[in-house]
Amino acid sequence: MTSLLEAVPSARKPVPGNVQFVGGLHPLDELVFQQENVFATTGVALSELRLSLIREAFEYHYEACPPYRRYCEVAGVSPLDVRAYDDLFRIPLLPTSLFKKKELVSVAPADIAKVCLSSGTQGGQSRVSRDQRSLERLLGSVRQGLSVLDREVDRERHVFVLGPDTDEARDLWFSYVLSIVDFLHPTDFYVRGDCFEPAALLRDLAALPPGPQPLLVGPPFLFVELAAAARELGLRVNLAEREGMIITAGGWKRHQGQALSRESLDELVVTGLGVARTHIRDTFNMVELNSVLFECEAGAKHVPPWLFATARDATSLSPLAPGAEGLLAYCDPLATSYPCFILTDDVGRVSADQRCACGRFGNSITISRRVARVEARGCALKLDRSLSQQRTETA
Amino acid sequence: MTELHHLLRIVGSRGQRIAAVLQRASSEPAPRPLVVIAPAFEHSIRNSFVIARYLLAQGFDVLRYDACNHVGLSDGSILDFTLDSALTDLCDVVRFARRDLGASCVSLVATSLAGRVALRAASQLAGELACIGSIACVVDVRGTVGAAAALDCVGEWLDGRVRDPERTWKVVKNHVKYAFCRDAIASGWHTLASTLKDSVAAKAIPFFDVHGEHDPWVETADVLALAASSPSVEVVVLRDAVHELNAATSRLALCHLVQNVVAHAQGRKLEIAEIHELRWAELVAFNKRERVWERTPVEEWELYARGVAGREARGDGPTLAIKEQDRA
Repeated sequence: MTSLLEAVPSARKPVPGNVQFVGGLHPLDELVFQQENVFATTGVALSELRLSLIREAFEYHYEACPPYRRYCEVAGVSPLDVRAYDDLFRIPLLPTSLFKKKELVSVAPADIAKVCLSSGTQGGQSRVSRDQRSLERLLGSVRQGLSVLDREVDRERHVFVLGPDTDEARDLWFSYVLSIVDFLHPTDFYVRGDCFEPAALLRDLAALPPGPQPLLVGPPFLFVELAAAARELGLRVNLAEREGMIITAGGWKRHQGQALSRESLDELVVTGLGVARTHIRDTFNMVELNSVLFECEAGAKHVPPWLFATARDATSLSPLAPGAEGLLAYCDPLATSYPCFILTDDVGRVSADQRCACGRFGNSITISRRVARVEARGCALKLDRSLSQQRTETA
Repeated sequence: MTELHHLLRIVGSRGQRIAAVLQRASSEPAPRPLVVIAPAFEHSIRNSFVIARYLLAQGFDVLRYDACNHVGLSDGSILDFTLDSALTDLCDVVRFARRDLGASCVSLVATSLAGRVALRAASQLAGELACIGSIACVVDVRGTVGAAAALDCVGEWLDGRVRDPERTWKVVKNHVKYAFCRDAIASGWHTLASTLKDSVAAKAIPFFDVHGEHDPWVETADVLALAASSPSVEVVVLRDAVHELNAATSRLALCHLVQNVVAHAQGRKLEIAEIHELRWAELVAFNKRERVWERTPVEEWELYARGVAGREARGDGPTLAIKEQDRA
C-alpha cells in the first residue's frame, strides 16, 4: 500500500504559496525566554555573549536617553570605546541614588507601562519607569531563576506570597515583583490592608490539595512572624513532606533591629515550618535592576549570563578582582526603558566565572552590607554632581 | 467597552461535564461570530486568555473549555486522557456553540495537540466551522509525545513492550495511562501520514497553523508536509520560536492567527498593525480575573445540559444569563 507521503512527492518540500516565514528573535529574548539552561554557557562563549548583549544595550541607551548620553560624554566614554570584554568596565555607571532625583528614560512617555518605586529605606524613593518589554523580560528572568531553585522548571506549584496582590502593591517595586509571580503559578497573597495574615496562610497551606509544590515567598521578617504564628497556634507545619520551599526576598529593610543572621533565620524556619534546610533560598533584586538573582542549592546567588556584575572600589570605582569586596555594580541589558548601568549602595563580592558546586557555570554575588551614606561614593558622587550641573546648564 | 462572561458546564455526549467560559464581545443581542478555543495538552481555560482577548477585540465571542479526563475543571482525571475523548469534547463544544449559543458562525482555535484533534474534528464538523486556527499544531503524535516525554511510549505499545493499558507514563507534568497509546494507534492518530490524511479529508475547512521554527517537539519538515497536503492549509513559520509561546513570540503569532481567523470568519482583511495588542496593565488585570474564575468552585458554574451532540439540536436556545463586568 502506498503511503500518503509517497503519493505526494512534494510533501516534504516548502510550498511557497501557503507557507511564509516571519519574525525572528533577538538573542537576548531567545536567552531569557527560551533557553533551557542559561547557566550552561562557559569560557569565551560566555564572555562574548555578555559583551555582545551589553555593548548593544549601551549603544541603544546612549542614543535613546539624552541625559545618559551627556553623562557618558562627561565620563568620556562612547559606544565606540566598548570593543573588547574589558571595555565593559568602562561603561559609565549611574549611582542608584540618582534614580531618587531624576527619572531616566529611553522610551517615549506613551510606552511607559509602569512607574516603579523603591521602598525608600535609605531616604527618598527611586523612580524607575518600565516599558512592557522590560517588564516581560523581568518576568522572564524570574522564570529562568526558578530553574536555579529547582531544575524542574515546569513543575506544578502553588505560591504563597507574604505580601500584597498587584492592586495593593501598586507601584512599590518589591511587592509588585512578588505579585506578578501570579503569571507563572497560582498565587495567594497574605498581606491585606497592610496587615500580614499568617493564620490564613497556615490554614490555606494545610488545605492545599495534593500535587503542587508549595513555595512561600516573602521578606525574612514575615517568615519570623509566620513561624511564631505556627508555634502560637500549635500547628506542626511540615513543608518538607511536599518538597516545599521558602524563598526570602527584599531583606530586612526597616526591620533591621530584628534582623537575624542567615543561620538563625534558617534554624527558625526549619524548626517552625518544617522546611528542609536545602529548600530555603534567598533572592536578590532592586528597583533599579531588571533581573532577579536566585540562590542555588549550594548557596550561591547566580548571575545570569546576560548580566554584567562587578565589584568596584568605593573611591575610584575601579573594577576589583573577583572575590574582592567593593560596591556592587550591574549592567543589565534586559531593561529597554531606562539605562540599567548602575552602581549600588551594596557592599559585596562578585566571584570569578566558575563551575559552582551545583553544576551551573558563571559568577555569583555575595552581599555583605549597605553603605551607610550615599556621599561615601567618591567618583560616583562626582559624576552625579556633574550630571546635576549639566541639567542646570541645560535648563 | 463592556464585556460579558459566563461560567458554565456543558454536559457532553458521553455524560461528562465540560467546564467552559463564554465571553461575549458586546452586550448587543445580535448574533456574532464565535471562536471555540480548545486547550492544549496540560493546559486549562486560563492558558488561553491572551488569545481570547485578541479575538474579543475583533468582535468575536469566545468559548473556552477544559477538556474532560484532563487538567482543569471538567470531569475526569488526566490519567484517562485520550485523543478520542478530546475529539468528542471538541465536537460537543462546537455543536453547543452552534446550536445553543446562536453564534452566526463558529471558528476553532486549537494549540499543540489540540490542533491535531481539530484537524480530525474538521471532517466531522463539515459545514459547522468557518475555519481552524492553530498554534504549534502537532502533526506527528508519536514523535511529539515521544519528544515531550523523552519516551517513545507509542512505540512501546506498538512493538508490544508494554501491554498493560492501566500502566502510566509521565508526559510533561502529569501521568497518563498507556490506554492513550493504545487508543491513539487503534484510531489512527499516531503518524504523520494519518494527519495528512485527516488534512485531505478536511480540505473544505481552511486550516491555518503558526509553527515555531525551532520547535523541539514538532518538526518543521512535517509541518511543511502538512502545508503540501491540502490547498486549504496555510502555515506561518515563526523564525527562532519554540513550541510554547512566550512574551517575545506570542504577539506576532497571535497577530497572524487573528488576521487569518478574521479573514475567514468575518471576510475582513485586517492588517497586523491594526490588531490591538494587550498592554501590561491589561495582562495583569485579565490574569487576575482568570485566577478568580479558576478558583470559583465548579459547582457554582451553571450547568447547561441542553442541546449537545444533536440531542436537542436547534438554534433558538435561550440566551444565557450572562454576567456583566467592566473591562479593565
